[in-house]
Amino acid sequence: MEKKKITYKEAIGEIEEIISKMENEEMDVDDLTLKVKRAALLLKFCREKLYDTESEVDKIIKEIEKDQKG
Amino acid sequence: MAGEISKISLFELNRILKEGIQGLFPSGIWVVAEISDMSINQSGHCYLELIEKADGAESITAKARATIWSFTFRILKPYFESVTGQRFSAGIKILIFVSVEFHEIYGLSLNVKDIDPNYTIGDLARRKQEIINRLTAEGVFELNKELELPEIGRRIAVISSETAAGYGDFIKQLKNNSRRFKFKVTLFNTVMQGEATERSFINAMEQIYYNYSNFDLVVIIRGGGSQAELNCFNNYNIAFHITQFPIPVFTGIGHDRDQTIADLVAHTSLKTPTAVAEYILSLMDETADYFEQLENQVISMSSNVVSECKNYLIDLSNSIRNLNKWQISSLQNKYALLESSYHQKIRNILPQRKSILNQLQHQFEARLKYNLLMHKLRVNRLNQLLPVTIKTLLKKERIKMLAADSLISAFNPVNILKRGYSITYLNGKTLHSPMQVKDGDTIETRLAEGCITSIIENLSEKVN
Repeated sequence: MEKKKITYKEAIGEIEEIISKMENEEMDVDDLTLKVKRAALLLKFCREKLYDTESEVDKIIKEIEKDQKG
Repeated sequence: MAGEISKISLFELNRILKEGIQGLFPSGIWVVAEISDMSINQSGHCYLELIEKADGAESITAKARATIWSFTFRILKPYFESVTGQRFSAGIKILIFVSVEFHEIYGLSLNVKDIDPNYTIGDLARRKQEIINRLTAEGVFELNKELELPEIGRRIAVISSETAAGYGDFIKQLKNNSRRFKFKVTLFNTVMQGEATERSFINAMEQIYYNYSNFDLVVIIRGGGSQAELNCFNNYNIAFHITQFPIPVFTGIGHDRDQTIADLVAHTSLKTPTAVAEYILSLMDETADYFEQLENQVISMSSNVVSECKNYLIDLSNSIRNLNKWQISSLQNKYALLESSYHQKIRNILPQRKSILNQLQHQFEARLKYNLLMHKLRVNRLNQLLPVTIKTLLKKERIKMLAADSLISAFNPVNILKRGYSITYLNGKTLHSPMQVKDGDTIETRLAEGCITSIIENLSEKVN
């Protein structure tokens, strides 16, 4: 089954969620590391979407999907 | 008789018709008609085909040819176009002042002397409103406007005429962005004037539609054309297609006064192609601004948390170090407090205790004195009693002794011997019974004043 590709909007939404969690909840250091890593990946994806070409975006989408599974 | 049929020559006929017709409207007549076809020859004369259609229908109910001689047309056309803002072309309805002419050879023809552009304005406005009403009634008017703008509008389908300056301006403006956005622009070429416009436009839109997932925006631009040519954007079909489009449509067709229907139904309508490009850039800027804000937030927050953790660790180690010092000084303080309170208490208690002690001492001394006194008294009394007691006692003892003495005297063997008794011994032992001796034994008898030794001659058995 083909999984729907993440959109820019969804990525931004997830980043906003992570930020709000960082502001409100008490995160322990491990959780924080994970979340920041994920945010960094999503930021990279959004940056590519904004400024560069589709090919880079596809690469990063694969990374994001890998990250979601793992 | 079926005589001669009345006949005339064609020329005659036409001449009669000519006279008749030209007599009808000697000074001319204002006529409402629709231009179905128009051509201009080299000399600048304009040849029109005029028609009338039944209301709402497509069927033609009247038709006539008309001419506008070049000296008239030269003035009439710009006049008409500047007032109406509309191109003088086929498809419009006009109110013209004509002289009706009938030529023997060319037949009926209307010669246009004047035009009232306001009629056309009114007619166009009416038609425009009709189309707007129709689109509204069909519920499609707002459809494209209601579409959400894409977060990232970088893949743009442009419908324009390649030759129009507008396209060039658009591209230039897009490239002129400070943030190095890269746009992917695909041009769909169309005709933007004349009858072919509608078909060509719809073709272009259909092409885009087949690939619409590859595009974020559709842009319809036109630059540098005259206002008169805008009427093609008031076309129902084109407008309808715009409403149905699944991605937002922007227009920048350079309208001066009123917006065309295409402008009204498009998602966003802007004045010029440059304005469209600027708007697209501003959307991207907004998205990029917000993105950078989020990025910065993530960075600063994670670095905040890291430095908070660092600070926390430093605080912990400091407080551990300080804890000992603190404990010690706290204990010292406690001790000092205790000491001073102890001293204070002592200072308070001591006199108290002293006085109690004194009191006790006094009491003790008093008691001692008392006891001593008692003892003394007793001793005194005893002293007094003692001699008497002793005398009495001694007397008693003397009596006792005297008694004992006399008893003893009585029992003293000497005294007994003095009475005449004697003691008999056998070999030193005292004799109690005659059985202890036999005849011949030597016995000794002690008398008060000496001893007798005897030998037994005869034992008598009689014992009293």
